[in-house]
Amino acid sequence: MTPPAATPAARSHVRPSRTVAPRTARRPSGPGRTPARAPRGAGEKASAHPVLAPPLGLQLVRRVVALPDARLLDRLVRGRLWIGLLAAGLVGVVFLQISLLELNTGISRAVQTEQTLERQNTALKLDLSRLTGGERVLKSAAAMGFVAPAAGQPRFLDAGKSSALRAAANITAPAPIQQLPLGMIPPAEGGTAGVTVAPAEAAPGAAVAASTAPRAAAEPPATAPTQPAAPPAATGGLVAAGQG
Amino acid sequence: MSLVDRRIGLLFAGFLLLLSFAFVRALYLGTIKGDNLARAANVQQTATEIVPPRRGAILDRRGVELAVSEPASDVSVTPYLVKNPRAAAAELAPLLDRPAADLTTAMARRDTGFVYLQRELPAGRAEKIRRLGIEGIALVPSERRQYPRQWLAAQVLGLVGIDGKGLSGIELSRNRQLTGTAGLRRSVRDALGEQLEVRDVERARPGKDLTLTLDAQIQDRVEAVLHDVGAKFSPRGASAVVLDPRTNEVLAMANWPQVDANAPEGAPEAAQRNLATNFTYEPGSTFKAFTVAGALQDRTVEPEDQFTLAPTIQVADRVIGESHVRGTVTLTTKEILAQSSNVGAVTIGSKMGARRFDAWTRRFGFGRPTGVDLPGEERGLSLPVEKYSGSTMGNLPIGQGQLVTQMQMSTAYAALANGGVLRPASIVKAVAGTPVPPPKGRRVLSEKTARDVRGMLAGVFAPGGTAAEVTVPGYSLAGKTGTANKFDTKLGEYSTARYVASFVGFAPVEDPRLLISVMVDEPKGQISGAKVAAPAFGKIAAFALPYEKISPR
Repeated sequence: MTPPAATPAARSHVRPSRTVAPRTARRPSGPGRTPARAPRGAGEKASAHPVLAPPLGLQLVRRVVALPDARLLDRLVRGRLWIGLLAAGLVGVVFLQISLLELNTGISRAVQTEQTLERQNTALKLDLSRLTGGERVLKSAAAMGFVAPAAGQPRFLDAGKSSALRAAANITAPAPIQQLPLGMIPPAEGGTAGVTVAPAEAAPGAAVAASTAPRAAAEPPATAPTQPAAPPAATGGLVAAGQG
Repeated sequence: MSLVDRRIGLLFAGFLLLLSFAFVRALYLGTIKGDNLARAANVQQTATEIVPPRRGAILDRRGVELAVSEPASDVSVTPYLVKNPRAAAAELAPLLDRPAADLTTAMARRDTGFVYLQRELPAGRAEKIRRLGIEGIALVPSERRQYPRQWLAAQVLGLVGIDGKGLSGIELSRNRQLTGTAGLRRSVRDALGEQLEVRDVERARPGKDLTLTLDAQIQDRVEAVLHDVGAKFSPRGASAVVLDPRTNEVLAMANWPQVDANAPEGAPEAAQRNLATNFTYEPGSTFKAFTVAGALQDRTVEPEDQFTLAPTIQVADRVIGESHVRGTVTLTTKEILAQSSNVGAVTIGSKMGARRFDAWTRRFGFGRPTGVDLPGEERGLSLPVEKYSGSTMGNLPIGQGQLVTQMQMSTAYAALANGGVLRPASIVKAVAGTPVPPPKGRRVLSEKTARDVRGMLAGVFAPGGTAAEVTVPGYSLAGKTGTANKFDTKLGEYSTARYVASFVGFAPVEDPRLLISVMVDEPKGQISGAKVAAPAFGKIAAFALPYEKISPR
């Protein structure tokens, strides 16, 4: 309790003199520390047991044991950064699961796409095979005015190596395609009007489709023309046992 | 505490209560009901299905698809799961191409838990059925074999059964290579039926593609020619074989009547036979070429040897005459073959003797299968020499009294065409892109003898020859006509009304590149090889020779 306000009577009381203690360093808060020993003077005798530095392993263990009390760790654990980190981790796990699901779904769709493409591929193969049918091609060609060359007329050339090189050197860009009405065949260069697609060496006797008469050739004659025979020998008739 | 504080506290308590309920429920589902729910999820969401292997395709030598498998599904129903069979049938009928009444009956059955509604339904339509989501309908993946050219080489390609196994033709003989290995696929679906996960437990291995030696364009033309023969002569059947005598690769093997490979049930069983390998007949005069070839090789006769031939010849109790009436003539060996003289051939045969003749018959491969890669090949019938009777040598040299297949005749003639090497015909060119090694041949004739016989056979097309009416301008032809009576088992003798007309020929004579054999069983109207089979040979040759880029003279 603070003393009452100084009164004259109190003031007259002789205040005992107080010696002010010498100002010393403030003891820091914390566990009491063993005061540091004053360094030994020259006259002091050494103690009987010298103090050695503890081994490295023990030092390490002590530091680890002291870690929970470390201030830095304390600040880290109590900090707010962890909230963000945990949240990010949880969101990441969810994203991973979703990505996995997406990948699986993608694989399933890829399998379905593969099956669909396989179906389409097969359908196209079937169409291609049907479209290359000989009868169909012949009918279409006949409708366009094409005529098969007579037997014995086409000639075939063997290209030697030099021919192939010369041919490759002479390749030029083709002229633009001229759209003609169906069945009309353009005359060959230097040839007569109404040429067929038969080879240039077509004999005069070969069937030719006139350009003015666009076709409708029926099935082109592919049979071997028979020649009038001399009296057919050894044909027909019946024999008792086989015949030629 | 203020009112606001109390309300906040109340709200908090409410949410806490709800959270507690959720927690308890989650705990209940996760622990007590966990196992049951996991099992149910497995059953509902996880499906294991067998992935059928893709059957290998069959291609021609230029890569044209002749047989292809497309994905399909077998549609089945568990009848007691279908709530409204009539409505379901109405939805399914247009997709299954079946009357709704039939489907209703099938789905209304209560005596079974499984009924097939359709096998091998194309995958596109199966997918539409799946999207209908009708309960009780199941789709099992399968395959559907398609033959895009329908009629082309149907008897050669053969058929595949409902279970995907080859039943005839190439489909049967190469079934193991065409069939792959089935796989196993596990899939997980969500509640809406969408796939979440697909995993191949075992990967399906497709079958191997086969490339045949056939050429689809030549095959097409040959079938068209046989079609004309069928229309003109109304035979019981007809067949033609085209091969390259240098390698014996079969370029075409056609049969008439034709069969639609996509609907074989519409054709009679007899039409589904491959006559080229499964039909035996007496070759008639086409066999004379081998009688003469054997005699030439043995030096029993020479090409220019002359024979004075009476109109008939007697062998034991039989009298053999010519196909046309004539007097006594003098013919060389060459002319005997060119004019197809029966008396001449029997004379040459008797000079050879029965044992040598029999040896030559077997040397040319008669009496056993040729070894072509087609199932059910007949071996024909060649009488063992010990069983020859006195008159046997009056029959065999002119091609009667023995049974051969068209394949045997083609490969034997190929030996004459290629300089004397007999080898089996090959029909499979490559398996999965790897070429099949060509079959080994063996020499049966010297080159000179083969050349001599070729020259004689060219005489068949010369004036006075049996096929003089047939020409292909620009090309030299060689071959032999054949007209053989068929044996009537009821009468016990040769019929005078039923014949087999045949022709085997090749071109060009100097360097044969194509061999064509035509056989017509019981033609009507005309019966001779010269009138029925030889013109067909000419038509096929007229197309095939320029198609194969064989230059005319």
